[in-house]
Amino acid sequence: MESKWIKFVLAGTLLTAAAVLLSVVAFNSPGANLVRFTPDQLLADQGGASAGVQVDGWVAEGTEQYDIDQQELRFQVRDAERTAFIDVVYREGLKPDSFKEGQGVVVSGHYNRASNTIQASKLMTKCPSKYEAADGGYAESEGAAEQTEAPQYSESSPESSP
Amino acid sequence: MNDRPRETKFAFSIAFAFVGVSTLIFLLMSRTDDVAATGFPRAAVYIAAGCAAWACLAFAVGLRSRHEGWLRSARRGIVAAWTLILFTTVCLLIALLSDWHHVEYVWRTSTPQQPVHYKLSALWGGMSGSMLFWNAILTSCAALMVWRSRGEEDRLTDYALGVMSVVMLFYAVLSAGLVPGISNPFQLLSDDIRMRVEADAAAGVSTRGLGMNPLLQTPLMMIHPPNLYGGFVICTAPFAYAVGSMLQGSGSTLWLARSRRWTIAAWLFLTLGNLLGGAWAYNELGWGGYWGWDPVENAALLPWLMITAFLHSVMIQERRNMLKIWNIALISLTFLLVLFGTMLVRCGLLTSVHAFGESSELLTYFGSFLALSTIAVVLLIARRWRRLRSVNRFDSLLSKEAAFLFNNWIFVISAAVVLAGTIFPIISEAYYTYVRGIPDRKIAVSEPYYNAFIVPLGLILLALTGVGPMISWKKATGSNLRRNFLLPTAAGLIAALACVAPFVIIGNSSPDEFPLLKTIYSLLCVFASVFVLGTIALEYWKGVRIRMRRGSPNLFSALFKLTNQNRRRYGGYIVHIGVALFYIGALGSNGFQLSDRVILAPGETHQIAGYQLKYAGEPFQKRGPNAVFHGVPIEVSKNGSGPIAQLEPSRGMYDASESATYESDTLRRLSGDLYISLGGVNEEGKADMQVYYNPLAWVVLWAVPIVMIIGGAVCLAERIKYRPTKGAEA
Repeated sequence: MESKWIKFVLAGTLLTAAAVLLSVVAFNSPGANLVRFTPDQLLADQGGASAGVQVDGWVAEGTEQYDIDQQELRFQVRDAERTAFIDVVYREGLKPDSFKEGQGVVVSGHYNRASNTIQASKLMTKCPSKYEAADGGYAESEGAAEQTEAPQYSESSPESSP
Repeated sequence: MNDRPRETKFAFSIAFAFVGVSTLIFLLMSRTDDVAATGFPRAAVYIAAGCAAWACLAFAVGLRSRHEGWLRSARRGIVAAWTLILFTTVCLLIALLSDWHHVEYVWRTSTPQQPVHYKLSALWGGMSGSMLFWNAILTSCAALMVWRSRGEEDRLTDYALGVMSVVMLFYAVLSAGLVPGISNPFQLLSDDIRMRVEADAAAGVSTRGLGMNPLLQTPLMMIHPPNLYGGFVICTAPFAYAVGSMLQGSGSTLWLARSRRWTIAAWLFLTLGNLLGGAWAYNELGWGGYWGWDPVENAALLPWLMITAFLHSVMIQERRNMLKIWNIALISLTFLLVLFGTMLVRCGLLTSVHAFGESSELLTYFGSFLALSTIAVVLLIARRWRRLRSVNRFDSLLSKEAAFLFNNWIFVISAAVVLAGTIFPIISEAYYTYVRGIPDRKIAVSEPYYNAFIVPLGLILLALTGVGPMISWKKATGSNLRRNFLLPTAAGLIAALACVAPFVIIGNSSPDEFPLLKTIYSLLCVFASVFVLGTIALEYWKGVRIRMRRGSPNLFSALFKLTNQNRRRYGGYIVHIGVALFYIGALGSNGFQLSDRVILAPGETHQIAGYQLKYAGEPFQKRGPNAVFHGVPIEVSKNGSGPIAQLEPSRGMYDASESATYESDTLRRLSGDLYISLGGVNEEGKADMQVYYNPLAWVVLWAVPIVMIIGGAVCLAERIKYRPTKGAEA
């Protein structure tokens, strides 16, 4: 009786160990983990920025350039205080839904410190800010009292599988 | 002595009469003063919260003192709360349909121009409306529990209703608007906004409401959220039975029988909610896929993983009276994960990707309830530990028990991995802030992490889907294995070989196109799917053969009788067919998706997957009811033949929104979807497009949901018999 029980415990332990190992491998596979910064933090950061980064900011006003012939979207991502600006080049997919200047975005990709440029592999826009901007500013004072809860960002990713 | 049936029927008649009459009064009153009329439903939510609170108290007293009067009152409290929430929901629908823009919720989610069906679905298109809807489902579940237990004195259901009333109180307080962050659905427009709207009206600017987000104005958004919410909320019922059973302390398996239908209903709704959510993303977001490992999606997947594990492991308890603690843990985790997911989504814990409302009071409120529920469940399990310990032991690794146990392990480990990935930004931020002293630094994980993990685990799970139902209890013998698995294994191997054969014969496979790992996974997936379908086909064939011998006139009547006789088992098989189909469809549409970024000038062509796309004509503009669509005509032809279809991918500019949204267009064929998103058109008419070819996309988006509905419905129709198992009654 007891030996059978041990067999089960052993099998379970092995399976769990395999799962932990697999998750470590998964975590370290290319593009799986990204350090997340705001633009000012990325500029101030001293190390580790050559690895994948994810930058959380806003599309800087007056910087969007969409070149259809080159299929290339260029803009600057800024922080909330408009003190830090980083160039972004995005060629991997279409301009995501509701992308516009002043819009909150999450940019994933590789950061080149010398040229202060992110080669973006993925670009996501946050919840469309229609509650703040598009309505004559009625709702501005309301802040975030009411938001819809369905996923309101859009995603533009060339491939979802390896 | 037993006047429960009469009593319950009376309470429900009063409830329906109340909803009818008060709605009528509400309508009449709104004719003269629609602002004052909204006071009724607004107050009704508060009273509902009060009724739920009363039910909690009365159950606590009644169950302790075993005084029937208190219990009767508590059950009436639940029916009353349900009645009031129902009334408020009806009123909100009336308000939405009649465009009462002085109600803030209506102003935010609907415009007079919005089509009627989207006005109705605006009920769950915003925070406080969807919270009310949530309450409506929850209280309906509780009321249904009251109704179904009207017959005899059902102590277990009384305990379960006690748990339900606590959860009802929690959510009713939210809906009443007592916690900052979620407002009462009938809150009036604030003076500030109203004055600005009136000023605009005076200046001649249109004063429509904000309107629902264009991305939500799609038929799928009318059915996806109710399914998902239904699934989330119904999970409360089996949880309530589990906790109720522990509170009662009988240690019997009665709670499994009582909660069986609730569990299957919750599972079915969660499954459909997730699948339809994927279909929505596919149709609306324009990136050619249906699942992106986004926190909101994960929040819906986690309870599904848990309840699916639970559905399987209860069978071991029913049959062998084992895993009692495990089952309670699984269904409790399901409930806690629903709560946790709701908290993540509603409280803006993961603002990084979603700009949801952030309210610290709401977070505290959710967080404390989550913590209290967790502590309560852990304490209860600890208290009943000795009574719940198993009498029987596992016998062999080659047995149904073992197969189910591994199935459970995989579900739980997958859930742990998905959960870890979902909250990794929060964990890492805490780590950097408190351990390393670096504020505001966090690490996010993305698709490669999930894919690297979930694909191998998913394949093992698929193989177990074939093994589990057919392998024998206790210890499988060689003949059992041969009889059930030899033919399906052969079929799987042949299918996998058939997929490899063309490449071996033609010999043109390039390593770039087929990396080793992907090839192995794909072949394993083909093998395992066919293996699963094979085991089920074999099982059906055996059953049908017996039926035919016993005189069924034809194959169909034999199939029908077979399924009808043992609905639970064959419903399960049908669901498993859906699972195998899902893997096949996902392999095609995810593993072998083709995707091209294309730029075409008028008249130019592009080739993909044997189709020729021609930019035929000029960019066009179309006016819809509340949007303008800027698009291009794309003529599709099969190579060598004439045009077979015209696609019109476009960008939609909705009147109520400043930015454009994708209106991708899809050619659906049996072999796969041709899917085009338009990025933009420049002055010369050149169009920037992303073209996808998604093989077998219809399998995931259409076939699987339909098969799941059929299988789930058959399971729901199961005749539930409660047989106390050996050693169950102490």
